[in-house]
Amino acid sequence: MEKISKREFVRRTAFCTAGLLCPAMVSAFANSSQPGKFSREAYFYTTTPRGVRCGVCPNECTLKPGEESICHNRVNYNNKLYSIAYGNPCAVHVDPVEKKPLFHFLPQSRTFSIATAGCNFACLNCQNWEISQASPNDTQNTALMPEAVVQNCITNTCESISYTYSEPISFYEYMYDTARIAHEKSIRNILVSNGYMNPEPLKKLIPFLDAANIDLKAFDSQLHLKLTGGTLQPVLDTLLTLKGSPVWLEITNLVVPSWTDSPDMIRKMCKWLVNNGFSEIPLHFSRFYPRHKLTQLPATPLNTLLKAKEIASEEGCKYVYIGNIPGKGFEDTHCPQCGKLVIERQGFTILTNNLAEGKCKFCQAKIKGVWQ
Amino acid sequence: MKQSPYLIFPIIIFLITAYLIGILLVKTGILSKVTHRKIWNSVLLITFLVSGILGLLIAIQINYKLEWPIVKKLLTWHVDFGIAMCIVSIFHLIWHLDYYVKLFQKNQPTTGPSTKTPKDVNSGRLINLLIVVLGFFTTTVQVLLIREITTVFQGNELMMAWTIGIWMFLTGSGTWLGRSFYNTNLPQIVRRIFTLLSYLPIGTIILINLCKHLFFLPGELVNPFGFLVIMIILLAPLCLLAGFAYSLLIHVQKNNKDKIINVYSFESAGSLIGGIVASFLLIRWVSISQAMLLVAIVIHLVLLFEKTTLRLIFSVSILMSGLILFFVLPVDRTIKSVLFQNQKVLKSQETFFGNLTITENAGEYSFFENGSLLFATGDIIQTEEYVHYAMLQHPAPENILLISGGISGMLDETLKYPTVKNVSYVELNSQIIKLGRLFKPLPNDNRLHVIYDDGRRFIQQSNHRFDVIILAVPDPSSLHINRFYTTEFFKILKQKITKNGVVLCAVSSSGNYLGPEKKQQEASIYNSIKGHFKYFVIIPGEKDYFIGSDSPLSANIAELSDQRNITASYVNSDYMDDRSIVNRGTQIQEQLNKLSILNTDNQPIPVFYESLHYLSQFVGRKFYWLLIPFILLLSPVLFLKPVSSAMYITGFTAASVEILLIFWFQIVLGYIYAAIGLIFAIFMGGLALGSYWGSKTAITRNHFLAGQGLLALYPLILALLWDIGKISVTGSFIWMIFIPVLLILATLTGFQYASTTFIYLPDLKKSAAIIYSADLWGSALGAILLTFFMAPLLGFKSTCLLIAGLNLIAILLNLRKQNT
Repeated sequence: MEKISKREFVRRTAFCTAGLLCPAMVSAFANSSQPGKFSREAYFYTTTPRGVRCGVCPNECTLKPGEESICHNRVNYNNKLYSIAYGNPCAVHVDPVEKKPLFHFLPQSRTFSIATAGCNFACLNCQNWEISQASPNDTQNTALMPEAVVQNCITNTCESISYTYSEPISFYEYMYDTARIAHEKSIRNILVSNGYMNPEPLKKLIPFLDAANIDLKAFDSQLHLKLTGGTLQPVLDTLLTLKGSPVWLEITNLVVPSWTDSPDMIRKMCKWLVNNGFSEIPLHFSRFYPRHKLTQLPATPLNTLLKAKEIASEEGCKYVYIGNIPGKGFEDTHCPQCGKLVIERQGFTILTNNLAEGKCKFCQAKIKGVWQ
Repeated sequence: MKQSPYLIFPIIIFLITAYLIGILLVKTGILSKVTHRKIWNSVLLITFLVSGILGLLIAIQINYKLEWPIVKKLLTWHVDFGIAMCIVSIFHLIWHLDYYVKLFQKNQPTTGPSTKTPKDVNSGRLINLLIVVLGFFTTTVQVLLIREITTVFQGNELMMAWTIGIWMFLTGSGTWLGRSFYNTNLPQIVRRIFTLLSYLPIGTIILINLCKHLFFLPGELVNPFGFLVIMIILLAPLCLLAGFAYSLLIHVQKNNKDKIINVYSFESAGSLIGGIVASFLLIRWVSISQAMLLVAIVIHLVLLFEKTTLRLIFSVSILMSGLILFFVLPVDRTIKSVLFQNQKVLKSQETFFGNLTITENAGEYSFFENGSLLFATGDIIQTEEYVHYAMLQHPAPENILLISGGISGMLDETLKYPTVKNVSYVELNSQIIKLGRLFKPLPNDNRLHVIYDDGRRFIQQSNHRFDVIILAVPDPSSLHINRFYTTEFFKILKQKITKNGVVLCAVSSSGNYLGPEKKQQEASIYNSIKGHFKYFVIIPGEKDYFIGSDSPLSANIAELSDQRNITASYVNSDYMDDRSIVNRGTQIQEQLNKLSILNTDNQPIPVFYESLHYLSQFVGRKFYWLLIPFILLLSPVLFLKPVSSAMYITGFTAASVEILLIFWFQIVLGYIYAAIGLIFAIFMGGLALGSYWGSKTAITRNHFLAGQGLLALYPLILALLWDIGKISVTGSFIWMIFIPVLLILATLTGFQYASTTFIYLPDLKKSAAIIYSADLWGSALGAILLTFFMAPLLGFKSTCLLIAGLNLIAILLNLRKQNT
């Protein structure tokens, strides 16, 4: 075997080490500009002496380098804020639009529904907790960039795209870009959200939005905080902003036994809605089913939901529905003027339709909604 | 209680109160001891005569078939006087216990005056009695308190196993703390500790309910870590003190090897009695709080028997008043009402299979078993999905088998099909139907047959063939329930269905996303069913429904429903969106197809993933948090020496193998409540027997090593037992194998306790206490590890090999020490 000098030995060793380190260094430098393939720099954040401060929702997380936001969807990478689930949804399905629920928006149409992992709330009763309370790094995702979402929507003959299941606010950048492209191609955009959003990002999104269903989870600040981890006021602010915009709005209130089933609270909520001009906005009282951390409560009794509907009607809400429970008459639309049955619904099916060009066939009163 | 024909508890309470008042009068000098005894002798005679004469009359009436209308009344009096006689004869027995004890003593004249001083006899006898009482007390309280904890904290199997683990760990620690305890006035300390012990269970129950109310939100699933912390804090006083009492009872014994080992034997015997009394008597007749007070009174009576003090009489009076209060006022229901806020508690009753509570809210009834929501009467969606998803697949279903869930409304749905001729509804807990009927009557239809049995056992023994089998059992979160999801079980089902037969089972819904734990769990079940049927389909809904058949199946439920014209509120074309259902079902199936994991009787893997799924709600995927409690349980190994480590492994072996054996028994013969009680009794009896045998043997190190060697060999033989269940054998044959196998394990464990104690330290008392601690610590680890890791992940046979390996390590450790 050839003898080598000490100098040669050191030289060769150095070369070998450099060779071995090269791929690692290349990969390190290659990805250094952003935390991963599916990440985008966030649209709303401020760099502060304490780190970067996210501005998309009222949680306003301040993150030091390497830290992750409450919603699991944002990280501070080299003192820049990134959304880490851009173009990488974990749930992609085609649903009837009534499932969102939206009853006054393109009835019986299909909506292409997407979600990434993460949520700015931590609701005890979340039915999608496996994705809402997880980081996009921990879920099994599908690569689907905004253009591909729109294309898939068209392929599946859907009339709209829904940003749903988890919390679209936490994947704001992905939602915004997809909505913008979809809007250009005349595909409608639906936001299904808890409404816990800062006004600025909401106003930026509104031009591309066509409909929204906001979950008003409880009408008591403390209770709201205990149940969801977020406060009530920002949700009310979102409702007011959306009402003042061209976006079609519907509101869902999940009636959870022992938590949000108090008739007094429901009445207070309905009063607020009517006094703030929401009387013609459809209100869905939804039946709670034991889920996630509230598995030891029985489902909401039908009588409790009927009582809630009665209260809402008494207070002046014009379109009140009961959801998540089968039965006749719970999902029917009556004309607020003549009281006659305009749309008879059962699940995802319309059994009777007395609506013509958005008006009641009997008295010609306008029924608010986006019907075509 | 109102329906009970006999006055068991009023008579017991009345007589004990009267007896205590009598003692008080004797103590104060108002009544002489002789008069007091004369009174009670007269009472005994009267009760004997009345009960006996009435018994004779009843015998005549029955033998000669006489029509006496008064006979029912006579029977009541006969039994009530019999109860009274029994109680008074116990008082009588206590006065003359010396005589009976001597009858069984070797080399002692059975007659004639005693050579010992009364005081000596009294103290020796009392200690033995106290040891039995300690065993009785700890087991009774353990059985009942764990039930209460499970009910209050809606405990799942994971939490139950942890509670048992904490219990044994703390008790072992209590004994360890008292290993070198010395005090000149030990008897008085023992008395005080026992008095204190008797109050702790009822106090713990009150605190448990209070903690749940204060620290957890209504209806909230309990955080496992919060639960662990609360359990450690709440159980510490009771368990540490009970463990400490064991040490004290060792220390009050004479320094004689027989006597010291007798503590273990007598304690096991007491546990045997406690287990039977708690499982078969107390659970049946009284609430848990009442049972705790009764146990406290028993301890007081024993203490009173030794020395009657005014303080003790006062103390027992308080307990009696408390007990009367619990009987007269609905205290239990009031306590439970706090747990079910905004719901009206209609019934809360202990049944063999756990607490059953029925609540009402706005006209709908909810059934809770062990605090966990079983079903609610208003849940139409799930009820209809279970039934119609299966029934619609069969062209003309005639014979239907429904395992569990029928009372929720599934029977009504099944009977909607005009072709149905027979519906067999099998429910393990008969009380669900008996109590449930009061609020939700079963359909009055002669096609319906209700069977109270274990579902798997029923199917194994049934000669019928069914067109549709619906398994409406809970998710496979325990070894017991997982029996309904294994490939072996589906193989049996395949044999019990007709040519076009359909089998349906379901697990909780994966919703819009199939998480990793859920995926593993569902894949194992999916692969287990799929292998036995030509066709298979997954229908997502309120649950994920798995359907198998040898005839083609369809997930187009709306279409099927339209064709069949069955009136259902939810499962119809208005609510069913076939496109979404088929798409989602296919998506799930595609993901499950990627995994080849199987759920077998030998390796019940879904149990493990079910636990992870529950934990992931609180810790995400950071499962390393689980290591903390395990490190705690393993920590004793750090300061145990090779010999005591061997006992740690023995305890581990005994606990894990006992659970394995029960698991095997349930697979082969089914879940039989009485059998579980009997298994426990055999085990405790074996422990007592083994330790007694050890105490009578001149133990050397070789005995100890041989014992450990047999424990290493035992699991290897046990692995062979597994295959016996696969052969078609009779139940009595299984029992014939099972009883000796269990008895051998328990006897070996008891023997190892004695042998380890003798060779460990020259100070036998300290040795006995430390070895007992090691035994309990090992058992704690065994109970938890087996249920959630070893059995599901390694399987029955590999677990047996692992246990054998651990025992070999114990031998090697001790051989090494011997050589050095």
